[in-house]
Amino acid sequence: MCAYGMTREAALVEVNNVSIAYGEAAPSVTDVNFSLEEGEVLVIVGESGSGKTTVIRALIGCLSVGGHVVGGQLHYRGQDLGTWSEADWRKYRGTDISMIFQDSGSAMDPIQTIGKQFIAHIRRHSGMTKSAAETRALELLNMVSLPGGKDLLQRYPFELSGGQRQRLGIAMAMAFTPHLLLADEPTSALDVTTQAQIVEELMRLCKQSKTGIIMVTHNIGVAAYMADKIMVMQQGKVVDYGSRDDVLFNAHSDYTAKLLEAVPTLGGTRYVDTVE
Amino acid sequence: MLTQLNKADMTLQNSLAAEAGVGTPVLEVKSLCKAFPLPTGGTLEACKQVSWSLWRGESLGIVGESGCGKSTLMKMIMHMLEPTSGEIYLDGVRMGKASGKEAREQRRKIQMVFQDSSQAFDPRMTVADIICEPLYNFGLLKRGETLAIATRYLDMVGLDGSFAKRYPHEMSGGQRQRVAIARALVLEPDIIVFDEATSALDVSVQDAIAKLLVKLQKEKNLTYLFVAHDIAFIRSMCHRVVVMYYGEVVEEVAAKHLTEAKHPYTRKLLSAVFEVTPERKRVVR
Repeated sequence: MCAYGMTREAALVEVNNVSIAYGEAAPSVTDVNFSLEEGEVLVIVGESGSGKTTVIRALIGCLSVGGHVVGGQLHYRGQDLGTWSEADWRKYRGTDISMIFQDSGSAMDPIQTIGKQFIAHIRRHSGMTKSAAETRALELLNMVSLPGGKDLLQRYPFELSGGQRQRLGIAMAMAFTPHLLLADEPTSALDVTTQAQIVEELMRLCKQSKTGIIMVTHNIGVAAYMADKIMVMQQGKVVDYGSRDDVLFNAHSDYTAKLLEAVPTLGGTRYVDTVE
Repeated sequence: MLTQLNKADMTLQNSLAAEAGVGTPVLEVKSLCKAFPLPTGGTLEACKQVSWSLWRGESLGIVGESGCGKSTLMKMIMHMLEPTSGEIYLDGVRMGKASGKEAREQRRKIQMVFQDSSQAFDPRMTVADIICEPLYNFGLLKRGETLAIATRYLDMVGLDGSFAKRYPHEMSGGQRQRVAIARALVLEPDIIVFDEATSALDVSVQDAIAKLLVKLQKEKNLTYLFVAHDIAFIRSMCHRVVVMYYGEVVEEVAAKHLTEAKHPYTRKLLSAVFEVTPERKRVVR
């Protein structure tokens, strides 16, 4: 793998003019530019179909079937991801770069116990013995406040609630303290109270281990709480990108303004009173 | 002034309901209980002594986390589950006890919009047929009227008449949800129940549908029952809010004064809301 001499100064992630297409169709994401430093949080917001998920999936080299980068470069610590071989990806994916999915439960094998899958995941990427991997798994479960210890490891994914499964997904993604954590709507299937806990969890991990987070969400309130930078996408294009305050309070595009306007709030006007 | 009003709400929580309407409530739930047998031999009380009333033209929101009994309650109101004990009254008539014609009439009066209309619709039916199916089921559809009726109701929910010929997969989530609303309206019900009807939609689409619903409510004097976990959305759409926790109603509060609610669980729900504020903090602590 080619490492540039400038690796040390390079940003954690640098995306330049990236366009991504599915099959032979016209690109569904065009001209995306952003960068991320260690310990920073970038939140991508926008409506469904705007290409948010496509962007983060490209960063972990698992675009859905037929998806490929048709223009521009994605850099991870100065390395061009386009030049990575399958072997390079195997080395980084799950350890240096990891991902939390919207429904971590369905990303798991339903007929294997949680412990078996978790331990296999740890051992796949390290030389740990089975018992050392188990100890590590228990540490991680503790870290994301999942109670139950060894008992939990013997259970199956379906035996956990949505919130517990999502925490498990976070624990697995954090197993090797990744430098880059990608999260695709990690809280949108959860109750608000659980969502709040998961958000705090992610923020804590980000601070503690300097992990850079790129999160996709449609909850603009969560974006405002977590983000250092916000990127707003619409129909495959970036319509706003900048620091949190810049995007939220000096939005440049009409779309961002409309999006912000549409969020129901605890203090704003109530439709039941105002709409005629 | 505001705080005074609020104090009145706190002390007179029961008369708060009375304020909302005069005469017979359009929907009344009295000491409703539902217990499910557990494999261990015990019972799970999904709803415990739930009581509230809803007046014509009013919106009531029911919030709570998953497993709090919201869906069980909805199912009992929709005649899909038999209550273990307690009563439901529709326009003063006890539900479930009526027979034949009257029972059908009760079913007509209360309609529902589901969270995921892509699953609630038959994928092989056109939108015109989907909208008119309830009329057909009630024997109210005359031959050859389908298209005209569908077009009228599509217009009501802000969709072009050309949608009548489409299939569910040819529409976006927001458009499908509008069709679901048209289908609920076609029987001209008194009450519409929304079970997380907008929570799968993008905020901008949710916003447009929310405005449509309030407009329709005012035009037709409809009564709404919202079940959702987004407490900020409920606040925006409802007159009153009922908070459920482990099968029980823990608080009933005017939506206007929601942020001043007292019960610790309601406070917890409120503090879980993230909002766009200059400083990074929750709105309610």
